[in-house]
Amino acid sequence: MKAKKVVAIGGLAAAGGGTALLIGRLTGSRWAGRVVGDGYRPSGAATRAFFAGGGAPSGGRADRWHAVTVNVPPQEVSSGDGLPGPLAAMADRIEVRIKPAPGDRGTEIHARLRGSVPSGPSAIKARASGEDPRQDLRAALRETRSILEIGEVLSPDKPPTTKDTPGGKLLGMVTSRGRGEGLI
Amino acid sequence: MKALVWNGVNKLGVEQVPDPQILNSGDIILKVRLSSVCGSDLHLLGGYLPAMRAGDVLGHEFMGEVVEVGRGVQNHSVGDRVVVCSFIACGRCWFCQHEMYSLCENSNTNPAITETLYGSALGACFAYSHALGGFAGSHAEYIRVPFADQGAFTIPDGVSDEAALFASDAAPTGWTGADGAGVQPGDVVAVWGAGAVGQMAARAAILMGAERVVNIDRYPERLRMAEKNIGSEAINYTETHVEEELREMTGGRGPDVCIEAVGMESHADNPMFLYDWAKQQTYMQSDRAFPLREAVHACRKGGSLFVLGVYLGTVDKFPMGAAMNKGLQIRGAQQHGQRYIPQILQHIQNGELETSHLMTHPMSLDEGPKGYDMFKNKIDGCVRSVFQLDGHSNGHSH
Ligand SMILES: NC(=O)c1ccc[n+]([C@@H]2O[C@H](COP(=O)([O-])OP(=O)(O)OC[C@H]3O[C@@H](n4cnc5c(N)ncnc54)[C@H](O)[C@@H]3O)[C@@H](O)[C@H]2O)c1
Ligand SMILES: [Zn+2]
Ligand SMILES: [Zn+2]
Repeated sequence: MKAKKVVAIGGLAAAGGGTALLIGRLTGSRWAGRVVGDGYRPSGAATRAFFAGGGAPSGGRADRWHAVTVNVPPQEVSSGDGLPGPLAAMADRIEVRIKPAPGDRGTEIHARLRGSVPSGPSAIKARASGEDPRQDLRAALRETRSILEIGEVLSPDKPPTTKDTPGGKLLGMVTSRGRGEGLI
Repeated sequence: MKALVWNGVNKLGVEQVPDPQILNSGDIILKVRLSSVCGSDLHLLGGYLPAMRAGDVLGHEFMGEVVEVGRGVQNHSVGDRVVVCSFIACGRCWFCQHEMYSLCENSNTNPAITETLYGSALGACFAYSHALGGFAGSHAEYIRVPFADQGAFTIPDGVSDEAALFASDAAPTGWTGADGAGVQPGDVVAVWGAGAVGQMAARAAILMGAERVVNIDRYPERLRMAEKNIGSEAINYTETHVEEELREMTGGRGPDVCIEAVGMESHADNPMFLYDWAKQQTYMQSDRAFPLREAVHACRKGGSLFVLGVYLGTVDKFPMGAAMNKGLQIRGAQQHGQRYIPQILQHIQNGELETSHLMTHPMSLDEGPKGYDMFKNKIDGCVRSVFQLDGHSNGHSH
């Protein structure tokens, strides 16, 4: 059992799935269940089925390009001076390439961090504390897409109706970085 | 305001929560009139979809009256009577523009969770856990509806609140299945499940010209509804051998189109386990993909299978050999309601689609926990418990 969990966690961590990493770690620990809200009786099976899914592919080259495709033509992405959306604020930290997507798919925005990024155990720590620069970059890419496509970034409901149970707080921490994690 | 909230596995409460607010230019605030339970809620209730937080307001199938509009909203104004698609979609991203609305790129504020699990992020859905955005649901006096120009539809005169309600989720899900499976005139279509979703899928297939349509279930009252209100045939799988029936019905070919409208909590012989997590576990690991396997085996070679029932993770013993060698087309989706709701409302108005019979148990929001218990355990023929919020008078359209 234990070994299985470690494999799942390792795979997700390597894929940069910090969100799942956090949850995976917690569901594999004695805190299991709390992360999904109070009252959840950890079954293992359901949680693993959900959070381990098919298992994210491993990889994790630190210097790779992160990318989103936006549904607007290239001239609307790089109009005039500077980078679009929240990417502009990161201009001195990133390299950006903009190119047309094939077919009718719009425009690809590829971005890569210039400096070094945390790796190994320090990456796990950085992610957990929200200090991994890749989190900023992923969020900036997604928000830039929203701004280019719909002119704004959708806000989650406020004020929230959720209660600050211990498990709820953890999930809340994960979702507060909802756009900063993932695979892009 | 008052709302029905999830407080843990199989723990519901009716509580006071903060009122919703306009936060984006495309938002409206709706005063909810009717809000229905859905089979999908059962997966949340049972803890199968574990990204819930205590205090999350449930409910994603609803209609009501617009009471506030964001500055960017063009299609709606205060006082409009609208039905809202359960999935939230921006209308502008590549997926929305290709009418795959539930895959919207801009609606899910927590894309990382589904992206990590599935390889790509899903769009948002009201009250469908924080993995799908964490938006508060409709079992409440008021609800914020983002992208209202895309997701809220004015209900035509002559269509009652009760009928329009199911244009939110159950009916467009049925349409997503029948259309996505490519139902053609002359087809024989088999639908596993005779819940609201299965019934709506069957009616969609009939309206798309299918020659024969059959619903498969074990609840006689649901099967009777399928025959009486939908116009499909019925197979009770506890009384006969489903595949044999289907083969006989189709001259040995098997159904051209199979639609799975059951989902991951498929059949247990004894579903009376509201508080019995252990049994849920056992049951989930043995039978949960049963109708899916049966459909693959029964389907005509070269036929098409559409999965509407919700699956979250992996299934055991999927008959890949049959699927591959028989040349089946297999698809699935969360519903793309923005694509189908206008035609569904039109069908209701024309008298071609009956939906209000699904509301078997109207009740007040205070009775919410009881309503879920009845629906989950299919007590007293419950197909949909529907919560009537203040201001709604039963049986009248406005
Ligand atoms: N794809 C979507 O967008 C979408 C939208 C709404 C609902 N859903 C899903 O559709 C499914 C059905 O929803 P519903 O609201 O109709 O639920 P429901 O619980 O009312 O109905 C499910 C029906 O399936 C029947 N069933 C169980 N095992 C069966 C078997 N082995 N063979 C045949 N029938 C069987 C049950 O008896 C029940 O009548 C759920 O999984 C729900 O999550 C999907
Ligand atoms: Zn639903
Ligand atoms: Zn979209």
